[in-house]
Order: sequence, then structure tokens, then C-alpha cells
Amino acid sequence: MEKTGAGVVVLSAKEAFEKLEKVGEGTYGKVYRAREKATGKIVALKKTRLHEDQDGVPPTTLREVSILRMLSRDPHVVSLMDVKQGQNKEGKTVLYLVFEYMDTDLKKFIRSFDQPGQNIPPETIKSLMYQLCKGIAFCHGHGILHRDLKPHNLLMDRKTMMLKIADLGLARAFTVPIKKYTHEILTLWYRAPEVLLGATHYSMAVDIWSVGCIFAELVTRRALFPGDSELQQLLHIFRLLGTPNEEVWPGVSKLKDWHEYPQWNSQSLSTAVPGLEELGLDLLSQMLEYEPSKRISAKKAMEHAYFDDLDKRNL
Amino acid sequence: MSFVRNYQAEDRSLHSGYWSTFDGNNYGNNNRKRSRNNYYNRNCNIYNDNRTKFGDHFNFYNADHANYARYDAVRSSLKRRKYSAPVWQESQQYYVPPMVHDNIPSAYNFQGPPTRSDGDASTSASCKRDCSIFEDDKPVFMSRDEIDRHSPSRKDGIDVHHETHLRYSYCAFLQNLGMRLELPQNIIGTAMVLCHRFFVRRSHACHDRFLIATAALFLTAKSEEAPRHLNNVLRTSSEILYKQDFALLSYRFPVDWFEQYRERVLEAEQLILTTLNFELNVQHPYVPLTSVLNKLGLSKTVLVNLALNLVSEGLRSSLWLQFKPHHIAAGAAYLAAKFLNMDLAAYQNIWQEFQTTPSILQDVSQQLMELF
Repeated sequence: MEKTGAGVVVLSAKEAFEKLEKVGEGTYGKVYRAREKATGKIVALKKTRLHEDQDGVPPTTLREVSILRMLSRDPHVVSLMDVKQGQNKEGKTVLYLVFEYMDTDLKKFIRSFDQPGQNIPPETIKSLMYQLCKGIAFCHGHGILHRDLKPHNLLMDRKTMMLKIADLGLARAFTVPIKKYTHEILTLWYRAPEVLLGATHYSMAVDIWSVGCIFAELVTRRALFPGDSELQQLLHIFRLLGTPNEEVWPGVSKLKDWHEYPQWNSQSLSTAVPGLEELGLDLLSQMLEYEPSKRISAKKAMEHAYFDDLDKRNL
Repeated sequence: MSFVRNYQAEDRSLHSGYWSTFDGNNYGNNNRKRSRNNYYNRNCNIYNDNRTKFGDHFNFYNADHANYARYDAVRSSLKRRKYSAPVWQESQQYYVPPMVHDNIPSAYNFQGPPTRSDGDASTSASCKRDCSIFEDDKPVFMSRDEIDRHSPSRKDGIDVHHETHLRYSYCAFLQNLGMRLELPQNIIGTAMVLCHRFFVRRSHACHDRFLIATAALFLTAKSEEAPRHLNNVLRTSSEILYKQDFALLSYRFPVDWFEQYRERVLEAEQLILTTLNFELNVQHPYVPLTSVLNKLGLSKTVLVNLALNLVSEGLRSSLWLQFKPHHIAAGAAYLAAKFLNMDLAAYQNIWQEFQTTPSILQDVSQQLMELF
């Protein structure tokens, strides 16, 4: 406990919060559900070991906190409430990011519809997709690429069906012209083809591809492209959308990891995502455009006719 | 975040419990071992004549970095009395960093979250989240007068002129260090701006600017995806500061000097983060400058090169604390055109493109001129 000059008492993480349970584990530490002792409010504590690699504060933590400083005001981005420091049992310094607590994530939500024929209601899918597009549009509008969008990183409140983007550890600010960025990002299943093919100059379109994959997964409750290696991932994509060439994607053959791949013709998206309405298929096809510059933007996606019959007042 | 420094009598432990708030003062278990020699807890006046525990031949943090600073000039201007870090004057009042003061000058005021546009006005009850500590603390730009008058260094006897020289010295150091580490210019520039932000909130008398600069560059490189190994940063910075090959430094200093330096840079990194409240995003004028001039068909001209050079020179000023990037870009373009006897007014709407006004143009270009 500390006392400021003004007589205000400031509590340390251990004094201020009571850990309730471990709810997850990330690259640099664990995530706990905790109760703020003063208010009884439930929060999420994301623990980061500071000297993990003997190089100070981890880059992911730096990026996550500085980016959340910019984005936390949006209702569709998880709110960072505080940052506290503590020490672990070995006396090592640890940093706690204090987030608002959300009771589930999209991965768990999709899994909860586990009975055959038990689908997520179309209006729920539409609402979640709109919120996701809105959150991503906000990030992109502030010059931030998320780069690791997947159902597990989309937090939800079961009661209100509110969706929030989380885990911005891989996010980064972009500037124009787009710089060379790290190639090794994103969980394979949601990874855009330009990243898989070794492009180091990429843009907001990588996030839109991920949004498209999540859209399809909401409808079918199965990953659209469940590859277990970079090559398998590409082949999954090519089987459905056809093997790209210079005609459909100018410059594709000049990408670093381009090889001669088996030739497939494109299939109709409705075969892979049965049950999705016509307008939904149209939006999905624009999200899964091969050429990144032709891929729909998050802002444009929000204006798509698919969302016309959605009540947006509470979103 | 709890921006509070736990100032206690020097002979007491820094820890008031097993855990501590992330407050820019308490960093990990090593604090227990440090007492009077703790970098952040020792006598604030780093220019005083006391020797550190390393003895007369090695005063690492008070070293004579002659190529970057005029310590003697600064030293003579400082108040001769001694005082402990947190105390301003003789008030015995705890020093609380500006962001938690009640009656702080407008230089440190922070604007609240932007008001929603009409199109975004409706918010469900579920959207009304608890106030985050980050919601109200986006720093507003300050006027030059506010920066000059309210700098914490002023209270420690460092006048505007001297502080300007101190700023130039750490910028020169950062430029040198960044180039040796082969970092891109925008990262070096960002580190400079982070240092400016830091010293608007903390006094030069209490913090070794080269230590802060080293930590700022290390930090920026990590956050901008161009990380450099800490040991590499430390070696290079000590070679610059001591104008000697790293191998020779080991003979000159005590056995554990490098470990101590490492520890202090890591402490400084955390101090920067808490002082700046993790605000590491810096917008540079390069993009607005090139895009506007490109629009006007001036992309491959001497004007662009000169304006870009002026922007890079401007990094050692406090312009980034005063103006938005496009305003600095406009001022640089205006001054470059003046140097080249070009009339940019002939290009219709040029200043509207930069979203600037004549008074801003005048102010920015005037301050850029002062650098030469």
C-alpha cells in the first residue's frame, strides 16, 4: 500500500484484487479472473513476466498497452482499465494488465452449439459480424492492424451478446506506404494468402480475410480452412477459391514463397457455407478476394446490404 | 495506473509490502538491496560533486560526456542546496507527477474522450463501461511558453537556454546511437520525441538524460518491431559516451559495472513507461509532407528533400509537443520554399491541404529557423 502526497492511498495488485481462477495462458503469462476488493467488480488480470527474455518489457506488452491506449474507448475493443506491478514467488517483477471481464469468447460460443442441427441463429451471426466489422473499422481508422484475429481473441458477453476485440499483442500501427512487416504472424486457419505466400508488405486486408474466415465459421460451426501447415493451409484455400494466377491476382507469382501449385477451379462459396443467405455470400466473397487491394474494407463491409435489416441502435 | 512515487526516508526499504504498484520508482526485488545508491532514490542533483560508490576514477552516471553536453555551464546554474528527489523547494510536499495533480498548469491538462458524432450517439447500457484510467489522459498539445515555463527542470535551476542544450545533446546522442544500431530514422525520431515527453514531466536534474535516451531507443525499437538486443544497445551506448572501445571499458571500470548499467537501463525503461503512461505512439510529419507535395506535383524536387531535412532537424526542438504532424509538415514546406525563393502560394489551396493557418505556419517555421 502506498500513500500519495495528497493522502490518496494506492493499492498494489495483490492488495487490490483477489484472484479467483486462471482462465487462460498467453505467450508471456497467465490470465486470471479476479475480483476488485474495493468494488466487488470482476476483472481479468493479464499477467506479464517482465524479464522473461532478459530484454525488459516484452514487445507484445508494449504494443498491446500503447495500442489499447488509443483504442480502448471503442465499445467493440476490450477496455484496459489499469496497469499494476507486482512480484512473483521468485521475486521477479510482473506486470498486470487489468481488463474488463467478459464471460466467454467466440470460440467457446461457437462450440456451445454442439448438437447436430443446432445452428447459431442468423440474426445473431449478423449482429456479431456487424460488431466485428465495426471494431475492426475503428482499429483500421486509427491506423492499427490487429494481425491475429481469430474466434479465441473475440470476447463476448453472453447476456448482451456484445462482442469485443481483444489480444492486441501482435497488433501494430501502420503508416502509408505500408512497411515490410513480420511474416510469421496469425494463427494458420485465419491467415491471409498473401501472408502465407511470404508477402512482407501487407495491409488492413489481412484482417478482413480473417473476418471472412470467422464469418464462415459462425455459419457452419467449423473452420473454413483448417490447415495444419502453411502448405496445407494454402491448398485448403486453393481448393475452394481456385488456384490463383496473374489474371485474378496480379503479382502473385512474384511473391517470395510462390511455387507451382496444383490447379483447382473455384467452387461456389455456398457449397462450403451452406445456409448462408445470398447477401451474406456476397459479403463473404468480397472478404475472401485474393487480391488484397480488391478485398472489401471494414467500413464498406458495415455498409453492405447484408446488414440492412439489422437493428444497429444498440450496437 | 497508479502514478505515485513512494518516497520514504533514504535509510528505509523502498518496499512497503511484497508487491508494489507500478509507479516508476519500485522495480523488482533488487530494490531491497539498493538504498542510498539507488538511481531514482538518490540525491536528485546529478550534477553535484559527490562521487558515486565507484570512487574518483569511475563516476559512471556523472561521467564527462563532453561531446554531448556542457555540464559545467549547467552545473553553475543549479541551486547549490541539496534536496531529496521528491521535494520541490522546502515545502516537504511529496512530488506527484503532473498527471495526478489537482492544480496543475494547463500544460499538463488532458482532454477527455472525444465526443461521439451523432451517427454514433446511441449506446446501449452494455456499452457504458467503467472508466478506464486511460480514457481521459490523451495529452493535449502545449504552447512553447507552457513548455518553457512549466518544465520541472526550471524548479531545479536549469533555465530554458540550458534545457535546450540538454535537449540537443541527448538528440545528438540518440542519432549517433540509432545509426550505429542501424535503426531506421523514424524509430530514432520517435525515441527523441519520447525523451521530450519525458523531460516535460520530469526534471533533467533528477535523471541522467543519456540513460533515459538509451532506454527510450531500446524501448522504441521493440515497440516498432525492430528490436535490438539490450547488451548490444548497452555496449554501443557506453562506447559513444566514453569514446572508447567496449573491450577497454572493462579494464577501466569495476567488475559488475555492465550488470549495473543493464539494471539501470531496465529501470529507466519502466520509468519512461509509467511517466508517459504507455503513450508510445508518435506521429511524424513525413507522411503528410510527402503526400501533400506529391498531390501538387512536387514529389521529386529539391523542395521535398529540403523540407524532409528540416523535419529531421526539427526533431531536436519541442515542436512535436506543440503541433500536429501536418502543421510541422506545413511549416517545413513553407521554410524550405523560403530558402529556395519559391512561392508556394502559387499552388492553390496548399495550406488548406496541410490544414493549417498563417499563424501556425509562422510559428513552426520560426522555431525551425532557430535551430540553425
